[in-house]
Amino acid sequence: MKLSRRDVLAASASIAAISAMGGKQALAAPTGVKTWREYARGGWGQVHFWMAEPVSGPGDHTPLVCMHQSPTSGSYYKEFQAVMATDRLVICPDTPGYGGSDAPPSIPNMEDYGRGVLEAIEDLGYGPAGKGPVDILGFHTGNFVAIEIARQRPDLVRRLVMPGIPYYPADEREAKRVQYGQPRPYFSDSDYMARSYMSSVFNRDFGISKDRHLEMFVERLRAGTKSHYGFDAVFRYDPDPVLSTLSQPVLLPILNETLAEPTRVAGTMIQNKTLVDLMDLDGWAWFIEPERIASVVRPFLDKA
Amino acid sequence: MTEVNIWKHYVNSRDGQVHVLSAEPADAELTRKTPLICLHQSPMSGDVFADFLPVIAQDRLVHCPDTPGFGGSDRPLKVRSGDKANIQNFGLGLADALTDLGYSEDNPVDLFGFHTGSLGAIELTRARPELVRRMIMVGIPYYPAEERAAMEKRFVTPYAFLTDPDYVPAMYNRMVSNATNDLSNEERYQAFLGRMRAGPNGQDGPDAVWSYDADEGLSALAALNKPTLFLAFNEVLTEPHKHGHRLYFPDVPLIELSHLPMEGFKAGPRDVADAVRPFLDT
Repeated sequence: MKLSRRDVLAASASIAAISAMGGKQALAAPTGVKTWREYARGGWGQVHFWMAEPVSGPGDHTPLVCMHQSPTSGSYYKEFQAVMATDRLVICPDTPGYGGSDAPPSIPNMEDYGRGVLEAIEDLGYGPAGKGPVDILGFHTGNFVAIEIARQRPDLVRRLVMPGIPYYPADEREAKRVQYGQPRPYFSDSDYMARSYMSSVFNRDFGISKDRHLEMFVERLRAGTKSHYGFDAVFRYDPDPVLSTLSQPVLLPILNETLAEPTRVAGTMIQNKTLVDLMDLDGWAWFIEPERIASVVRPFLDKA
Repeated sequence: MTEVNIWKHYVNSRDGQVHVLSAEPADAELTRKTPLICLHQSPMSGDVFADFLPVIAQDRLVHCPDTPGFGGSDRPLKVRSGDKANIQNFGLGLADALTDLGYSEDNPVDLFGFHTGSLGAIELTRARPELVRRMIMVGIPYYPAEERAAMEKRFVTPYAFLTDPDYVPAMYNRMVSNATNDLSNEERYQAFLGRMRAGPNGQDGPDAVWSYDADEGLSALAALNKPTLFLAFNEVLTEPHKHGHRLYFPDVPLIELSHLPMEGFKAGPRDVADAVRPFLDT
């Protein structure tokens, strides 16, 4: 059987050989990347993290935090994380209420999400009084969480990478909120789970294994009846004042996906930006061509 | 009720990370009893004890680890390498986790094992007897050898998550939409989610249970002479459990909580805590 690049990456992230690593157990992968999970205090209790760094240690690069879209979890970035973590620590949090992170009791604002995640990043030891700032990459919802962290704690964020910004004018946001910010009908529509499973796993391909589709489907299910909270917060958020005042350098990779044009529009408001056209890649590139995305992200992050 | 702090964390084992749900009284002065370790059934996780935790952790530290390969815990290395799952691997991984939590001969724990967790408790105790002070066994899947073989034939078939388009929808209908138990929709959903998280690897549970020589395990445990309590709910494994009790632990107390269904610690956490606390506090 011929192994694809995807198979190799998936194996590198999961095939394990144990090595001691301080207080945490590392999984050493063939690529020289070790992965582990941990929790920190923040948000509405605990925030769960998917971590990866070189077996030899994180080196001198600034750690990269990757914020996921709704309603997935930090494991969305598994393949991209494995590529980026060959020379730095890559931290993929589960946004509060998603994956393994504790959920808010009611629908939060984007400001609340930003605060919750930044508290957890600080609890990991980052910030001016600790291990220094981090770089943050977002995708969809994750971009608004990222800019809220940058707004609230500019000293915690060095650089931003923002593909897929859910930027819409105010009058369109409310229509989107009504469309996406509703509870999923887990208990009122007896066919909902079957339809979701068929479209998200059984009939889905995009060059990605069924096992991986199942894994991501299950991560989505973990948000349960609160899975719409992130969508609601996104479409109630006015990003204009924040985008226009970001002090950090921003990279805007434009992927060929639903938020390509909104990202371009949002980019017109960002002062210190670099726009990179990746329109030959779609949103599944995170899974099947992560090294292509990394090839534009890494040089940007490696600038002083 | 005393306020109880509940948190999640990871500890290390030979197989990677073990995910643990833990609880203790907010007032540290109340945490004076021997810590209790609750071991879950397959294919679930330590989350099944979420309702029991605030009650039993009123006066002690309680840990609910996810068995290796379930919930948030890494799958046993040997299973990842192609070996069939077995209870011994579960026991060794859990013993490692207890060691990483700081437990030792001088600082042992009590065990509460349910279904697969009861077998894991046996193998944990056989591997590291000095770590265990007292044991509570609930719903032991004890069947004589020939019945185990039949069970293995009946239950150990690949989970058809990715081969049968109706498998997951049917599971959802059975466990949530059309369920007739006393659980709320949210509780049913969480049970379904537990099975989904285990996914095709959830088969490790029945693989391990039905290939386990329960006669050998129970006789070896009896020889260790650990103070033991048998607890029974009104469920599918009540009779097998009592059968194992009669054969190997006839002089050990057996408390029947026949008004409680299979996961009695969910339906009646206070009743279960009241039943086990005198034994644990001895």
